[in-house]
Amino acid sequence: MTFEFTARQILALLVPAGQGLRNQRHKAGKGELFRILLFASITLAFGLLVFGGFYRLLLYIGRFSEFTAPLTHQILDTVSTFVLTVLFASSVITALSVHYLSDDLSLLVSSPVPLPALHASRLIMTAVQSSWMVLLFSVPIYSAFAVTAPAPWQFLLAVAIGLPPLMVIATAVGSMVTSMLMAVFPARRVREMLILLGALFVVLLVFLIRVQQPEKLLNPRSIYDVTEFFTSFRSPTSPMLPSSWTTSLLIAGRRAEPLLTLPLVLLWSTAAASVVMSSWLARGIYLRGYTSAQESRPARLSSLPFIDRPLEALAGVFEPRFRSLLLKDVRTFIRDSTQWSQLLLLLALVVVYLYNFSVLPSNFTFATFFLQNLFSFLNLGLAGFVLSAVAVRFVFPSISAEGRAFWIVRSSPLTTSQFLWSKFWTSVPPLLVLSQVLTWASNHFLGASAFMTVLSAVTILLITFGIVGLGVGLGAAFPKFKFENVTQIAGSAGGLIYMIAASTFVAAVLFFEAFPAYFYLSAQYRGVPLDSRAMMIIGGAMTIVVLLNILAVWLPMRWGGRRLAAMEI
Amino acid sequence: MIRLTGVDKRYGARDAVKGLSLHVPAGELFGFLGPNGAGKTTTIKMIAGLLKPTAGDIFLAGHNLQSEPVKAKAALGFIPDRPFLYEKLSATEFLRFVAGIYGFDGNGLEGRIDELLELVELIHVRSELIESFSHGMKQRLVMAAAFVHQPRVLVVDEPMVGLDPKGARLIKRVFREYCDQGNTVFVSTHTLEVAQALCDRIGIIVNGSLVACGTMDELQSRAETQQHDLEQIFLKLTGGEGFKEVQDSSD
Repeated sequence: MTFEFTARQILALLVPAGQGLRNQRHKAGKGELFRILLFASITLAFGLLVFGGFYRLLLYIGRFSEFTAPLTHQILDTVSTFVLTVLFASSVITALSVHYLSDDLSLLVSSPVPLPALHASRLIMTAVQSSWMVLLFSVPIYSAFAVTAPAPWQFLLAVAIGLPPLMVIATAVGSMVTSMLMAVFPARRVREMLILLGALFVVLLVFLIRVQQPEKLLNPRSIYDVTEFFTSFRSPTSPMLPSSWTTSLLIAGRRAEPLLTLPLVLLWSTAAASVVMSSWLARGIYLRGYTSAQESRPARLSSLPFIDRPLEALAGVFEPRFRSLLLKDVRTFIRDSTQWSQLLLLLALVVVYLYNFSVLPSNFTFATFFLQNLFSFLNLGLAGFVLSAVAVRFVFPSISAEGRAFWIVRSSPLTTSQFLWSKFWTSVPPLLVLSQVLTWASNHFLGASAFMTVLSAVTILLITFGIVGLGVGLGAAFPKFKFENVTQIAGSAGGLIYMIAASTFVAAVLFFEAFPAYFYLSAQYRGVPLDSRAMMIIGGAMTIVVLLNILAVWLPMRWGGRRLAAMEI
Repeated sequence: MIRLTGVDKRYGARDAVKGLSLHVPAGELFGFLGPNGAGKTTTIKMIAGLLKPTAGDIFLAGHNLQSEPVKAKAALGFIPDRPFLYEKLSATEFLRFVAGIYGFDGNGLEGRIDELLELVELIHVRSELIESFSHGMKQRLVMAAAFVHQPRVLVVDEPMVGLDPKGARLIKRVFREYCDQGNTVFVSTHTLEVAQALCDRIGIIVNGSLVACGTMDELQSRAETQQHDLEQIFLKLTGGEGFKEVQDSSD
C-alpha cells in the first residue's frame, strides 16, 4: 500500500456507500416504507416529548433568577458530556465493523488504494454511522435551549460550529481505540468485549439517571434540591474535556455574547489533530489489526460443565426432538455475547421497575382504597408492556435466530408446527418467572389488596402465554434469516408490528379485566356481596379474557406456521 | 428411491425448471450437470424440501414429499453447497442436534458420532466451536451430519466446493461405498471429471429441461460423438453456439 492520496480517491471510496443507500431507497417495498414511516413517527413523538421536557424545565429554571445561569450552564455541560460520551462509545463499536469487518475490505485492502485514503473514507463512514442518531436526538434538546434563549439564532450558530468538531474528535479517538484493541486482541474477542462494554455502559447510564430521581424536578417545592441534584449528578467537568469547550461556546451563544475564540480554536484544532493522529496510527497498525480480523482463532473451551450438566439433565426428560432444539437454543444463547449481554439490560429494567415502586412516597399506603387498587391495576398494564418489550428482544427473534442454518430444520422431518411449539415452550418458563416476580414484588411495594395481587398474578400468567404466542407466531410470519447481529431482528418491520400487536393485546385484556375488578372492588368498598348481575358480568368478562389469550396464542402460531411453511429459502 | 414426475418451478414469468421427470433407483450414484442458471440448485432444493414445486410430484424412498413430508424427509440426507451451520455449537453437539431432530437418541449414537467424526477427520476438533472451522471443515461436518441418521437417499449440491484434494477423495470413496450398500446419491456438480469417474448415470439440464440422461455410453451416442470425454459431450449437448465457439477456438 502507498501513502500518497488525493481527496478524489476518498470520494471515490465513499461513492459505493452512497449508491447503496440510493438503491436501497429505490427498491424499498411497502414493508420497508411502513417501517420508515413508523420509525419517523416514533422519532417525532419522542423528539416532541424531549423538546417539551427541556422547554418546560428551562422555563421553570428561568423563574429563579439567582439559579438560572449556573443551572443552565450545568445542564448544557451535562448534555455536551453526554453527547461526547455516547458518540465516543458508538464510534468505538462502529469502527470495528467499518474499519475491520466489512465484506468489501478484502477487495479494497488488496487493491492499490493508498492506506490514508482508505482510512479517511472509513473514518467518514464511522462518523456518519455512529453519530446520526445522537445528533438527531440532540436536535429537540438544543431547539429547546434556542427557543428559550435571548438570541436563538446566535445559539444555533454556536451549535453549528461547536458540535461538528465534537463529533470528529469522538470518531477519531474512538477509531484509534478500536485500532489499538485490534492490534492486540483477536477480532472475535474485541467484538465480544465491546458488546459487553456497550451493554454495561447503557446499564450504568440507566442506573445513574434513575437513582438521581429526576422526577424531583417536577416537584415545585424542590427547587432548592435541584441545585443539589445537579451538583450530585454533575458530570466530571474538566477544562481539558472538549465537551466543556463546546459548552463555553454554547453558553456565550445563548447569552448573545460574542463567541469565544479560544474554545473555538481548541475544538477545531483538536479535531484536526485527532484526525491526523488517527491517520498516523492507522499507517502503523491498521494492517496488523486487519490481518488479525481475518484469522480464525481456535475456539475456547466450548462447554462449561457447571452449566452443561444441569442443562442436559433437565433436558433429558423431554423427547429427542424438543430436547435437541432446547439444548441448541440455550447453548447458542449463552455462548453468543450479542444475545446474553441483553440480559444485563433486562436486569437493569427489572431493578429500575421495582425501584420505582419502592421509592413511592411513604404516605402512599395511606392513599384511598380505590387509588391503591387502581394503581395495582395500572401496574398490570405496565408489567404487560414491559413483558412485550422483553419478548420483542428474546421471543420474537427466536425464529430468525436460526439464521442461514434454517435449512437444517427445514430439510429435516421436523414439522413447522413442532418447531414453533418447541420455541414457544422454550420461551414461556423464563418469561413466566419474570412476569410473576414483577407482579408480586410491585404489588407488595404498592400494598395492594390480596384480591388485586391474585388477580394480577393470574392475569399476567395468561398474558405471558399470549405474548409468547404472539412473539413466536409473528416471528415466524416475519422471519429475517439474514442478519449481522441478532439484536437487529427486534428493530425490523415485523418487530414493530409485534410491539403494536402485543400492546393492543395487553390493552384489550385490561379493558375486559376492568369489569370484574370494578364490580368486586365496589362491592368490597360498600361492604355488600356481589349480586347475580355483577356475577354474570364478571363471569362473561373473565371468559372473554381467557378466550383473548387463547386466540393470542392460537391465531399467530397458526398464521406464522403457515407463512413459514410456505416460505422458500 | 428418487422419483420426479413432471416437476415445474416458476418464478413469476420465468420457468426455472420445466416438466422434469426422473427416476434414480436404489444403489445408483446419479450426477446432475448443467451450465450456470440451468436449474440444478432449484431442483436440488426442491428435492430437499426447501422449495415447493409449482407443479409435479417428488417421491423419496416411495413417499411423496408434498403429502408425506415427514416420512420423505426422514429418508433424506442433504448436503448444500454452502455450509451454514449453528456456529456456537461444537462439532459433537451439532451432530447430536441433527440426530435429535431426526428422532435418533441414545442407543449407539455417541459411538456413531465418533465414527463419523473420525471418517471426516474432525475427531481432533470435536469439542471446538464450529465458528472456528474453515470452510472445508464445515463442509466435512455437514457431510457427517447428512449421514448421522443413516438416510437412504443423499442429495448433494456441489460436493467439491471448498474441499482440499484429500477431502475430495474422501467424498468420492464415501459416496461410492454408500451406494454399494443399496442407497442412492443424487449429486449436482460442475466438476465433470468427478461426474465421469464417479457417477453411474448422468443427467444434463439446460434452461430448466432435462436434455439428456443416461450412462456415459448413452450420452456419447446421444451427442453423436466418438469422444469419450464428458467435457466434449457436455459442451455439445448444452452448448449450441457456445460449443461452436469452443470448437473454433480449439481448432
